[in-house]
Amino acid sequence: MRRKTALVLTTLLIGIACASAGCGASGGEKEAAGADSAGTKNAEAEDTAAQDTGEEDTKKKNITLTFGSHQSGLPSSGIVQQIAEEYEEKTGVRIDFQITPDAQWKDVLTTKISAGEAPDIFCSDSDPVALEDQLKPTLNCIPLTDEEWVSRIDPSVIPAVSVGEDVYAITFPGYKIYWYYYNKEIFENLGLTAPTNYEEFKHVCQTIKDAGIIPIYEAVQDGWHQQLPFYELGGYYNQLHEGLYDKLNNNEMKLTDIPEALTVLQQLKEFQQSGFYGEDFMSNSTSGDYKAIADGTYAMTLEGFGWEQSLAEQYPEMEGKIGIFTMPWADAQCIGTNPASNAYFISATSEYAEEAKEFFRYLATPEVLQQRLEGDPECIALCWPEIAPQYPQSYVDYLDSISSGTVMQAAVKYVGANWMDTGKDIAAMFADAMTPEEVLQSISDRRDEQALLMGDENWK
Amino acid sequence: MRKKRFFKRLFQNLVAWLLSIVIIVPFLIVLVNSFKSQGEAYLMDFTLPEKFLIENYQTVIERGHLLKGFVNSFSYAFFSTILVIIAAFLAAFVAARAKRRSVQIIYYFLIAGIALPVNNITLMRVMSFLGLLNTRIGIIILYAAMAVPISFFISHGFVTGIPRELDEAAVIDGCGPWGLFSRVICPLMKPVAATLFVLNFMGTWNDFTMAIYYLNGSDKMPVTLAVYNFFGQYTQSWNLVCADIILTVLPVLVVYVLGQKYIVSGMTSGAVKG
Amino acid sequence: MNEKKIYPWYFMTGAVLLFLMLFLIPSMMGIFYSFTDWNRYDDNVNFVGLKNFQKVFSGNSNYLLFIKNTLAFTVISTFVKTVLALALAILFTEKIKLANLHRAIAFAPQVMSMLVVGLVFKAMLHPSTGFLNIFLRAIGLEALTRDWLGSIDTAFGTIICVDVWKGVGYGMVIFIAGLQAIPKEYYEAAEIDGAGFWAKVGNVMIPFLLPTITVNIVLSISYGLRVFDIVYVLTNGGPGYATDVMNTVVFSEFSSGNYAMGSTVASLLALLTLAVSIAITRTANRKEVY
Repeated sequence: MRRKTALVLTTLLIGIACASAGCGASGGEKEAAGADSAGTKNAEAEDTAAQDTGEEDTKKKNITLTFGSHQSGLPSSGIVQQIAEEYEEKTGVRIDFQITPDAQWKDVLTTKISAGEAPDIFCSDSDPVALEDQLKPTLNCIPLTDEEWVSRIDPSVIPAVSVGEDVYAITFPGYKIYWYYYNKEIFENLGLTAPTNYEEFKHVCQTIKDAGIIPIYEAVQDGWHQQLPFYELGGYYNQLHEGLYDKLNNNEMKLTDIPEALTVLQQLKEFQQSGFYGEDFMSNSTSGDYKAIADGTYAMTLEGFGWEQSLAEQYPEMEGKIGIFTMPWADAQCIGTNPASNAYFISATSEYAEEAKEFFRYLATPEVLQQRLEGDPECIALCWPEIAPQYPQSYVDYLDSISSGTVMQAAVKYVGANWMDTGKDIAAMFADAMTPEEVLQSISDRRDEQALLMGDENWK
Repeated sequence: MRKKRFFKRLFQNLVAWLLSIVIIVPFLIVLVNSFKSQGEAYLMDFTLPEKFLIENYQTVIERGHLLKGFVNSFSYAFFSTILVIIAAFLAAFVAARAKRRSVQIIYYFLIAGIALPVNNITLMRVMSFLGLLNTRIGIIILYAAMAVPISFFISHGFVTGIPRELDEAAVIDGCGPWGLFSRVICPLMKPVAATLFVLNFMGTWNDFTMAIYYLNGSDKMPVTLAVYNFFGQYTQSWNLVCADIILTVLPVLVVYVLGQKYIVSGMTSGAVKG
Repeated sequence: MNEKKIYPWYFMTGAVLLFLMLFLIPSMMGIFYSFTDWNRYDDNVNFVGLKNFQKVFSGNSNYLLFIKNTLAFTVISTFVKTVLALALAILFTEKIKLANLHRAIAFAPQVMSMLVVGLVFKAMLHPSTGFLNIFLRAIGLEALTRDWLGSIDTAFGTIICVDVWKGVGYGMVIFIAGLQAIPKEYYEAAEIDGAGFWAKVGNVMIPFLLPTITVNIVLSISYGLRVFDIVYVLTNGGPGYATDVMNTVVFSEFSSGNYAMGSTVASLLALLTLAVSIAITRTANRKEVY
């Protein structure tokens, strides 16, 4: 008889659990039992706020802001979490970080947004060309245009966090630049200097290879690295063909119409065939390049701003032994600059929008900005002019000596969304499954598809 | 004859050990590397560390916030597994016995679930509608629901193997449906219960995607996610990552080794007549 | 005997309710979207008929390759896993020493989450710093070293091997449960008849295990067709598109915001899995009549 009762009870449990959770009564946790409504987020936000006002008083003293981010959205040194802890000590407002693996984040975030369940604050990519397409901040986020700190951000970065006139996010990292870092000792011993065109580059690599050192550390496994030359040289393509970026955005030109783009792909293939990447590049991951350069098995690596400083932190003996030069593919001598990075948004459905804004104000105080810069060895400059960058004079001199241009993914529409696919295409090229021509065609076709998906008038 | 048997046994044992060693190599590598220093762990091999660094484990426990994750993972895995076993057994019992058309339709309907894709966007709307989103009870019910088709399928196969004569005898003895199920069928289902428990428990323990989508709040996150985040932060420190892996795998392995006894003891022999 | 009374419908409510609400309804809603142009960027969802399905079979895309890869993975991994799992189950139910330890070891990979499997195997299979190649070099088999996951020739096979390593314990557990349900008398009878090992396997084990074998094959096939995690963590479909399967494509379509296309591939996959599972269960049920 006892068993029978137990069974009845458990069967009922399912029903009861559903029902009681439906009333929002399970454990007194924050519940948003809003009805299913994809299109009417604002209305739902009010609903949720109204429902929760009953609990407001008890919670006021102890507010928790949820902060959703992908792993690479926050500095790996944990400085943001540390700042948030200090903020909690000062104000009692707790910031609860929920970190999602990079690969899932975009999908998780858009899914949560469409269900009206976004975290109070979330981290997403800033984007000067397609922010509205990617995130619909006008619907999903709270405008921050009137905040005091907006005027203190580098004005050239503002478009990357704005839609129309309205600013929707706060952002910190400065311009991202990729260039080749090389081991000066290896170069000196072999009598080499930094190459400035493709032929020199090839000669340098051949000489290094003949000396028994692998010339370049390439890492295909992560999927995002091998396509850098193709897109980062966009500024160079744009210099050669007047108005290229506009024409691409108006669909008056295709990526296949840029001869240098094909040249870059062909030269990447030539390098791989010549063995300049060594044997392991298909299985290498980017994080392995510190050791690879430090122990001298490789001579060069294509990395972002701040890499040299991180290297010196891990391998102090490498201090001062690293030189830089910009990518000489297709004879380019143009540094690609990228104003887009990650940025923090406040969800339109957040009950604590005011508290979230307050937290942003705290993040924007000069002391905290400084603390942030110093606490993150991978970041050597902020997009806040009041905070002095931490890069050496040699960088300043090099940047002054050479032209620069905005990278393609920050200026041309429907390119960023295909980043990883481009990486797969190039990996297929390295594996002899695609030719450079096919790769370029595939990149261009995919861009057209994306434009059509977005309903772009120029593609119809 | 005896000699032949001896060699046969020896051969069997050798093969068993060979297979086991091949299978366990990755675990041993992780274990060895978890005691190395960062530099030594760069090469993932069997070279013993110069000095066994037990501190690695201390570091991981302190920095990885593992304890809370363990409690979460355990409760999600345990309760959802219990829930699904009860639901699946009850349904399988009826589906395997009743010949009514309506029941057979439900059988195919549940089995179809093995093939159906999960769509996170629509599922999130349904979860939100039912008020199950962002609650512990919600995720437990969700994990149970995901495991229903396969658990039902396995237990259905098992009930079919239990002779009907047992039912008839029980009914003659005056058993109702509950009595028949709990006193006759359930005791015979112990092995499959153990199997389902182990399989579903592991499945839920190792999942983290459902948790990222349907929970918010880092205090509700399972331990798998902690490993992932840990790896993101310490990509360079394979020694710490290995220690972290060992710590997260060990408890489940213990659960399995303890639970294995119930699968093994062979409670079915005698009662089941194919 | 009153069937309705002894086997009442309401025993099924728990399973049906769970399944219906949290599984069937959302996934049917998802399938419905394969006939639309639903995407992340446009709130209007229009009905487009079979356009998405036509695109999959139009031939000028990679979709057919993904379908081929999925089928190849399913067939090979199911075969290897079932045979190996049965062999392990038989071996470990024989009277060998420390059988329980062996069983625990064989099942151990199952407790490792896919994420960890990915991390560990990528490190172990790295061409120059990974254990496998270091080991091969150490025993003088330098010639066998490969870039296991990075080369187009070996990546697919390597994934299957890792999958077998991970999954064989699962099948083994089910087979052991099945083997133990075989009454001892049948073996004894066979032994009295003078049957050797293989005769016992063929005449006693296999016939009795048929339902268990079916269960294993169906599970393995439905897993194989829907394989995602292991490919995703090991190669993410690479190098290039060489190891992409249907579910990695579904994932990437969803991440790029093309929900309708993702749903289409997912629906096709569901259809395929369903057809194959039903076919196997039917054939097996027919054979089961003894």
